[in-house]
Amino acid sequence: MKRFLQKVLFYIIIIFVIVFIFDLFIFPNNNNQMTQKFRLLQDTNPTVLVLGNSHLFFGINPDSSSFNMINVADKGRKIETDYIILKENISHLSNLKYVIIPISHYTLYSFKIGVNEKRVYYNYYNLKDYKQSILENSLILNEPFRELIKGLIFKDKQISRLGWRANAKIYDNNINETKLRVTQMETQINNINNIKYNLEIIDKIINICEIHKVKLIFITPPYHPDFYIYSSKKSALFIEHTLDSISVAHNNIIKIEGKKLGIYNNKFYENSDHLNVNGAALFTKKIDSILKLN
Amino acid sequence: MLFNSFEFLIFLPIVFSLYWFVFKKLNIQNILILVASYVFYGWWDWRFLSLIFLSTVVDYIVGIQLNKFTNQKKRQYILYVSIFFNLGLLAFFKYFNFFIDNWVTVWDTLGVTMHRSSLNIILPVGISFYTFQTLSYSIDIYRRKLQPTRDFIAFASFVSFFPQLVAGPIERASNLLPQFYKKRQFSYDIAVSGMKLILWGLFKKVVIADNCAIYVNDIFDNYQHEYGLTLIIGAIFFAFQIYGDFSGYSDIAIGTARLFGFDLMRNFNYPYFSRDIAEFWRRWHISLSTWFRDYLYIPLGGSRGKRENQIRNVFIIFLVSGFWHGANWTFIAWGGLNALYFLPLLLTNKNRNHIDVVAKDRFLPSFKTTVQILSTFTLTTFAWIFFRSKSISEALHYICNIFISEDFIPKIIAQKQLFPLLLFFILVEYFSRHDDVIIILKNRYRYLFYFLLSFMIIYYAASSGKTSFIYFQF
Repeated sequence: MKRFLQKVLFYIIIIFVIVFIFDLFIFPNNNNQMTQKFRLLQDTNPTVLVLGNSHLFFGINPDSSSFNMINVADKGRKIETDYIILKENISHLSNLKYVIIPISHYTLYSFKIGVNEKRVYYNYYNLKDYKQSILENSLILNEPFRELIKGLIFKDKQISRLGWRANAKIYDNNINETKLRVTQMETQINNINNIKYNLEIIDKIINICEIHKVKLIFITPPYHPDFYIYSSKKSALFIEHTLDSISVAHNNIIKIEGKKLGIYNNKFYENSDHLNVNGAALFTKKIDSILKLN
Repeated sequence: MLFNSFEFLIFLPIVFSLYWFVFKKLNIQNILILVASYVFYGWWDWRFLSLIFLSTVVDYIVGIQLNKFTNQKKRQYILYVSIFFNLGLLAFFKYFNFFIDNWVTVWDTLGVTMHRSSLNIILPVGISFYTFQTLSYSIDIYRRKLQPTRDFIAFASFVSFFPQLVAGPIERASNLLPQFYKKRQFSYDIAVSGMKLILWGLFKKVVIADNCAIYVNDIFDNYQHEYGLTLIIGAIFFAFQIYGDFSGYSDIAIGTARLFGFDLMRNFNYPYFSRDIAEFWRRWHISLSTWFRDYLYIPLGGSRGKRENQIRNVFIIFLVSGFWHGANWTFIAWGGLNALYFLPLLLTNKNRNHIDVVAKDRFLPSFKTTVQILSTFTLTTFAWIFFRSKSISEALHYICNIFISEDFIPKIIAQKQLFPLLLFFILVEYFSRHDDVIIILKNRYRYLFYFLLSFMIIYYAASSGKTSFIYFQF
């Protein structure tokens, strides 16, 4: 029995050790778009930093800009994470002059960050503020193993050199999909606690930018006209008022309203609220010209 | 509780430790096995523990009563209690809705409209397995081949023994029950062989069966839109899925039992290397095939007597075997098809032509043997189409689409990663065909092989999540 237990334990320990090595040292360095963006933050010294969620991840292409710009926005990113990324990186970004952040339904109405998002940003962006317990931090326990292995083997980053992801599709006025997207975005519009919490985070972002003398550009992303037809007027107005009051109260804020940039045609959109390749080129050019004026 | 679940990963070492280190007395060990088995089963749905308990009590009493009386008539009536109770459980929980639906359909076709009122019955996991096990106990006592036990704990542990409770092997009381009477000794070699079997069983389930399932489900769900060769590949993948799933479960069950000092019967013996259908049925789900042989086929007359009786017996055993798998005409068709395959061999006295190991004393099989293996596999795979389909018409459409689809180009690009896995699986099975699969794992590189298997299991288990075993539904 002793020999049996020794052998089984030895075998299990070896497997555990190998698994831990992968979890702690190998998978966090995987080649995925998140580590690529983290490296952009570490290895470049941009003038313009794009944060935010999918609206800017797909919508701003640094290669179309005349500024030294990087795009580290990501799908589903919450403003709290934008703040933590900014807080942990702003001091070494010595050339930074502008930070671009979207103010949208997703920014103001979304819940606080959850354990899964914390895990991913702790591992791939090295955000110490998001450190949790070993079980919650473990990639191997919480992420699809197949994806982790793929990330290890394949260099499949699916983003441009400066962090932008291209959408080739053209919007086809799919009303049902638009209604669904609007509904999903507006499920939390009456949750006062979420709004209050997210506004506090925005205040923190403003402060940190003021301290580092960086101009903050708040953008309401451009949406297709279909989106405005089906979205709630109340929520859109609230976003506009919020943006107005913030920009009036602070000198270092530039306000850009995507709705007023004249990007209405289907050929610029992938779906009702995301720009495609054409839209990103146009939108980036427009931002570029606004930045030049400031 | 599933063998491929996190719960079982915790459950097994706890029971193992208590069994060998805390409760060393035989009676206490048997009680532990009984409790552990009820926990194992109750994890799925504790309400159905009452069925196992009732089945245990009924056959325990029937066994004692059968031994008490010498009058054959009285003994027969006592046996009927067991038969009616166990088959009654099966009939109600497994076949009630099937009979009601078909009854209504028959009247509908005759122009009489009847109200369709099927019940919302949950099929208790493993009911077909433990009812057959208890039934065989009573029949063996009736035939005076076995003495009834008066040790209720040992009998209850035999009926509910957790490694084989929900998907077999269907053990005979004459093999398993005596093992509960005598003190089990821990054997290093047996325990190690058990661990190896568990590892190989998990590989079959998690890597082979679950991966095949992804494509099988996709192809069978969309068979109307698939090309001919894709449909053929779908059927072949299903053949590997069901084999990996079921024989994987059996391997884990046998391996787990070995950890506790029990020896369960072998359930699969490399069936896909069979050279004809008769050999296939000697190698596939052996515990069920021999059950039907001993308790149905031989009592009916078996292969003796007139030709028409032989044919009748073959059809009965295969149709009943098909029906055992589920309350659907597809299973009956699958059984019928196998009967048709088997019949020519029986009628020409060629059903026992291939008793030996395939390609014995050879490295590779001869051309003739290869053709025989491939043709048997083709026939079996063809029959699996009925087994996997939701209805007879779906199976027929699936088969028709193989031949009539306009293009014969397969959609296998997404499936190409499966072929090396299947090739690896076939090669390991082929080179271990002389004995247990663990035999080939004795050379000095064996740890490399174990680690390879372990990481493949972790890789696929973590990717796909736990999935239930197919044979739980039967």
